[in-house]
Amino acid sequence: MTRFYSGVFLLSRLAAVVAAGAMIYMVGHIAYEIILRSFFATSTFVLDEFVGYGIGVCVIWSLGYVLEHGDLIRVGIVLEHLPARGRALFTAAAALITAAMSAGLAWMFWIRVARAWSRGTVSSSVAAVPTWIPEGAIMVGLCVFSLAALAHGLRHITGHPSPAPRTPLVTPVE
Amino acid sequence: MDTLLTAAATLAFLLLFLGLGVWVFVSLALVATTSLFFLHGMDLSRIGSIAAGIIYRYSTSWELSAIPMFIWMGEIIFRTDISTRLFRGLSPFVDYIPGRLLHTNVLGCTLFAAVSGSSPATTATVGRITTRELGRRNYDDRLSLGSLAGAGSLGLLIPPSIVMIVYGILAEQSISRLFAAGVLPGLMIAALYSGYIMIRAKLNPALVPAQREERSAMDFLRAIWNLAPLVGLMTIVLGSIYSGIATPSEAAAVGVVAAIVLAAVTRQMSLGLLRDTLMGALRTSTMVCSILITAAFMSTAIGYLHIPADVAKGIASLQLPPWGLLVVLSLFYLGLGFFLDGTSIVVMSLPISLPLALQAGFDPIWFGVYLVLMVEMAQVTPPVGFNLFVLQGISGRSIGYVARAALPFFALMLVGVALLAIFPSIALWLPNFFYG
Amino acid sequence: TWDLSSEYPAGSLQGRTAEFFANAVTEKTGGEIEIAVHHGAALGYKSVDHFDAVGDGALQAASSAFVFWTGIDPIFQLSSLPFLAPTTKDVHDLYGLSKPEYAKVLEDSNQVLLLATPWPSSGLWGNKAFTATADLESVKVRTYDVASTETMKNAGAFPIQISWADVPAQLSTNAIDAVLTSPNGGVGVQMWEEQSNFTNVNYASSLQAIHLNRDAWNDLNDEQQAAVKEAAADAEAFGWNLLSDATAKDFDTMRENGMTVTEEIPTEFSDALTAAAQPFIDQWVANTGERAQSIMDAYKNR
Ligand code: NA
Ligand code: NA
Repeated sequence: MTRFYSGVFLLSRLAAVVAAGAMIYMVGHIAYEIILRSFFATSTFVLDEFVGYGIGVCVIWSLGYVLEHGDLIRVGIVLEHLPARGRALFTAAAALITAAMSAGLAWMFWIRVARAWSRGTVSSSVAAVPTWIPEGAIMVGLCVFSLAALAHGLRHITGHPSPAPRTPLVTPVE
Repeated sequence: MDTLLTAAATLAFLLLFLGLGVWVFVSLALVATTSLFFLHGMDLSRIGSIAAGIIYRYSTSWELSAIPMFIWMGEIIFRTDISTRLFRGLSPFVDYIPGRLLHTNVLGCTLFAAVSGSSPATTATVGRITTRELGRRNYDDRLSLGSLAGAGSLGLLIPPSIVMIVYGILAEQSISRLFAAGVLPGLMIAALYSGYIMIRAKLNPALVPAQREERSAMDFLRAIWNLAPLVGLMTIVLGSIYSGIATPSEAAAVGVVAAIVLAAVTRQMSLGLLRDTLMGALRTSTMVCSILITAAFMSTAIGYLHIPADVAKGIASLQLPPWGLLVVLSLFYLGLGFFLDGTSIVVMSLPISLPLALQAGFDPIWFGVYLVLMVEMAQVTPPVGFNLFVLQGISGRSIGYVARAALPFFALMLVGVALLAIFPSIALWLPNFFYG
Repeated sequence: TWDLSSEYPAGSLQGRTAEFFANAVTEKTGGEIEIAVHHGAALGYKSVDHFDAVGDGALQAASSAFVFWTGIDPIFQLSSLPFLAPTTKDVHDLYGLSKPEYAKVLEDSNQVLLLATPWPSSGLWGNKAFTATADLESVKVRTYDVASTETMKNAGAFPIQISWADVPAQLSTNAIDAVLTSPNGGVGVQMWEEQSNFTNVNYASSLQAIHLNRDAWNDLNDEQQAAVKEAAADAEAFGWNLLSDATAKDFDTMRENGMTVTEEIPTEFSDALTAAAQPFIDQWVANTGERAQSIMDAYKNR
């Protein structure tokens, strides 16, 4: 099982690297646009569209990575009063529901992707980006997250430690 | 009443999923799904089609993009000496004000609100920088988090503001006027917060660490030097907006580039730092944005259930006098604020509440400011309050703790609403001064 | 109850047409069908999303601007082709000729075209009147789609695409000089706070349709279908009538707020603008194929 968990986490990390790339891209595109507008009186004419794709990839592709680092928010009201094993099982149930939900959502995106492909839908900008590409990107991101959530759930049932390094986002107050 | 029953059932679903410890962003999507399924009787394929459409629309929306970039800028500030220098620089100046560095939360958020149009971006960016420094210096955690939750929502009232733009477009009002109208009420709320912090610090000196020694003129010069990096950064970002070089939505990217340059100039930039800031920003912004995206889906579901529209129609049928209407509308918006995010509150209720307000003689610009204040309050009310989630994420405290910490600041916003209702010119004076 | 989604405010021309249609349906079916209109994108959908949302039955009905559907099928570009149909009569004729094509594309995606009504023709908002090509030289003008961007570029201006929400701030800092939008669009956000002139160049009156999911349509009995058809016809007439009244009223509002309105432009300028638009139109006809060519021929020979 360890191989499965660390394999899935590797996938999540790779996806997070892509998401980080998307973030750099957003900054770069906006900076480029500002330069074009200020000094060359022109524009890429696709700023909001492409930065939109960027933010989608940025958020959806990093979900698994962020989940495994424990940064996704949950409310602890009930969990806090449970013994460790009970907490793990609640977490596992939540993770399996999450996995099912994102898989279902990925399926709905697949329907959109297939339709956009067969109909030849493009964005109505000068770039005329085939819509199946960004929709497909979100679908892939959801599949990766679904897998990450599944591994997260199984890991809590089997009591396996997290493959993610413990680097809390919260700054410990010394 | 059927609508109230539907609303109660939706709220019950929400409390159930959140209570069971399902991640917040998943809970919101589950609430949307279950209420459409059980309360509307939709089949799963239709719900799935709605979900995919809305989630695609929001996750790829330009409006969302400023959040991760502002958070990245904050992360660079956080991981370089810019933030520690800020606090060292501020210390001598605030020593004589009761509450001392706690005011950096209010001041920082107010300043940042002039750059950012979104409340979670303001809270996350400023909170990331201040919570560590304040905690390290033994300031009261609760007062610190509460003031952050309250002041973080000033991003909506002080221009630029996304909610105001939405209101302006829907209510067919001048966005310039609305922006001008938000300035004084925003500063008033900030002043209320600072006043409250001072009173609390006076009453209970234990909330603030003991005062340090006397200072020489040299110390003050050094302090100013310490403030220079952040002041410079803010000047660049604000300057880019107010000179027209960047739109408010683009200012976040300007901030990131400026922060990277600043870190490079001060010889703190390395590939390792770049990677750490990037991954840190990714984690915080995914935490925030994932909730915003599924919250949009839940808003859509609530729209399909016609809850806001039906309740607003119910209010319309009461034929209330202006003051009565204002009280009932405020209760209505507080109720919506329990489970909806900012923009949806405005969008869903406006077609009915605006004509009511206009008929009762309220000025449309004033009503916009009032509405934005109600939306600000929604940011700090549980179970769905974005500032609460953001602060839970960056402080590690429980949502209940953060909500209790925010309660006094919520009450201060209520005071603000009352003042605004009694003295409408707080909002209307500045736009009338500028635009006649 | 049907849900009808619209991206635009309740007070806009299209918002009022949608509201009129909803009331007419309820009235004509004796209350058997009620329509909840969700204005201002209250359900979260934009026009571009409506096409599939209605086709899939996520929504029963929607009011959508064709200009956002050009990526789904290029035929929807037709009504926003620049300087092709300057008068209301031209716009109406062009709509009559192209309606079967629109209906067919919607039909193929499981929906019914109920009606289409025009937006007031776009013009140039700015701090001066635009009456000659020289006036456009190096002017930074906010455009909204590929057609307007290309046309403005050819006419010598610097087109800039920014989101509508950023327009007031960009105007007040002089980052842009002019905005291409309808009188109604500018009046809606009280653009006279930043701009002093409106030039009615008669850019294009693009269409907005109300469309209905086919399954929802098939669920109706014959009388109900007839009633909905009738309501749609009435709402269509209502929407087209709004057009001329609304534009005159908007011009009055602008003047009341101290703006200068230039209602007619010199023929020479108008010809130059038409010429600037021609390459885009030719390109569009070539890309869209025979159906575009036949509509254009019929339009020319009418
Ligand atoms: Na702001
Ligand atoms: Na809330």
